[in-house]
Amino acid sequence: MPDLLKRLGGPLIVVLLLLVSIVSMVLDRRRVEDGGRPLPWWQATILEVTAPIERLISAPIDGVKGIYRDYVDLLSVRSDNVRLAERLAEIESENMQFREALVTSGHLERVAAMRDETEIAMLPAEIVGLDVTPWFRSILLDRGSEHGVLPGNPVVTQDGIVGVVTATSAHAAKTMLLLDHQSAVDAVVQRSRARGIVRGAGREILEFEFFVRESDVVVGDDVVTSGLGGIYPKGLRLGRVSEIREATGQLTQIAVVRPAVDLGQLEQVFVMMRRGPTMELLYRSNAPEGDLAGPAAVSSPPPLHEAGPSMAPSGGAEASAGAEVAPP
Amino acid sequence: MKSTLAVLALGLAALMLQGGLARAFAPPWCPDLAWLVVVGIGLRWPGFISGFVLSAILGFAMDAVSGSLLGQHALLRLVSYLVAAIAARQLDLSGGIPTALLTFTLSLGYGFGIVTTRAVFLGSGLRSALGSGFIAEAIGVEGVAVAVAQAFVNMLCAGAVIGIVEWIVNRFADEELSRRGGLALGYSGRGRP
Repeated sequence: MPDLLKRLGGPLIVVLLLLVSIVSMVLDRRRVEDGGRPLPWWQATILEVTAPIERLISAPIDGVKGIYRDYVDLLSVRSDNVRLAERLAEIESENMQFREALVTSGHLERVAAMRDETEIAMLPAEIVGLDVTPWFRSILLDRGSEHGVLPGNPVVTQDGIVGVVTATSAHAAKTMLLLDHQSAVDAVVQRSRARGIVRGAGREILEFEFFVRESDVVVGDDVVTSGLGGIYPKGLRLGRVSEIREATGQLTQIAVVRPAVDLGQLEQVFVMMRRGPTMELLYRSNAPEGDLAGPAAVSSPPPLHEAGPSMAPSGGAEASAGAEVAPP
Repeated sequence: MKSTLAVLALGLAALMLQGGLARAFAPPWCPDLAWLVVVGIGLRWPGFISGFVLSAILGFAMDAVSGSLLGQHALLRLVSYLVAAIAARQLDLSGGIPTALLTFTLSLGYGFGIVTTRAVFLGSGLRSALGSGFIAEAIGVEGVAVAVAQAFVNMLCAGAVIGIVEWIVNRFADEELSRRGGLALGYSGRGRP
């Protein structure tokens, strides 16, 4: 018997480890679908150790990149100044017209009141690491649960959406970028309000899949979040339509969208310290007792009657629809 | 034991280094150094089972910092290790070119493995993934280009990383091997200097 065990020990370990990795994937998929659970201790420990070291490694890289970028920016500062001054004058004029229209219709006070109610706190965070495999688009941030960051918090820059936090340790947070294959965001064309889902293509572009085949969309249209997915607030910029694909042979129309944020040049981002209603419901139902205490800005979920149809893609990015939240 | 700890430390250091390096060399132009350590273990590590366990640990560590499913990198790194270990025992891999070609092929396979496991575990199962052509669609021309680019970068860095693994094996393992008095699973020493 000991001889048999000795002979079979090696193959048994091989089969066992292969099985463990497969079972881990099945369980992790279920975890993603259920909205996530806190990271196991060993994963959190690896993140805790990795994040500061990666930060040390990336600091000189960022320094060199910063000097180069500053130099390039300086070269075009004069022409940019003239162009921006013209643009500012145009926007001020437009703004005046919109304000006039809002005052006339009596919407201005209501919009102002709503904005006060829905102000969302932002936490600046630095990117310390990137996923090295091109098949997954995720980043590692230097802020974690100790800073109030929770899985499900949207991550943005001044230009638009970056992604969503998927897991946190005490001082680090894994964030899935918009470009990831698992990412899907409920979105609208800003001009025509044509609605659909913006999915990550795993490359440097996004794919906007419209709900209606003959949607009103043209190249150059801005695409923003609809707020109906329950993860991101309404009105955040996703990108600009760069190509419209022929709908022949397809049930839906698809447009290619260039992300508003240059996700390859990211250094600093902002974590929105409030989860969307869908994420709040998912994580709240999964979190153990005592783990619910998030940052002060975390709001309670909205009434369920505001929820819309389910749009959950496999792997769960934007899950079922929730109530809209006004932009920060 | 010393050599095991040294290789484990090397794998974890590679994991952290590549995360930072990716800031300068965006994927697919950043080498997967931690994966190369696993391939190096497959090619140069004397103990088959201990190498397998090491690869599993490094695979799960990669899953912890990556956006993958937990176990996805672990499974594919175990497969990479198995192929590399079997190749080292069955083929004549002396010289840089055979090792570079093996690394290139393994890296390509790794990319397709990621796409396939994603389609199976995040899609609607193996049969559906194969039947609907989802895997082929998910890979696509651009996917193949990305896989080839990363395989090329990995191939360029393979020599250095496998060399470090080899150095660790030579530095620590000889005395351990002589103490144990043999190599596991019919290891013939081919592929090892």
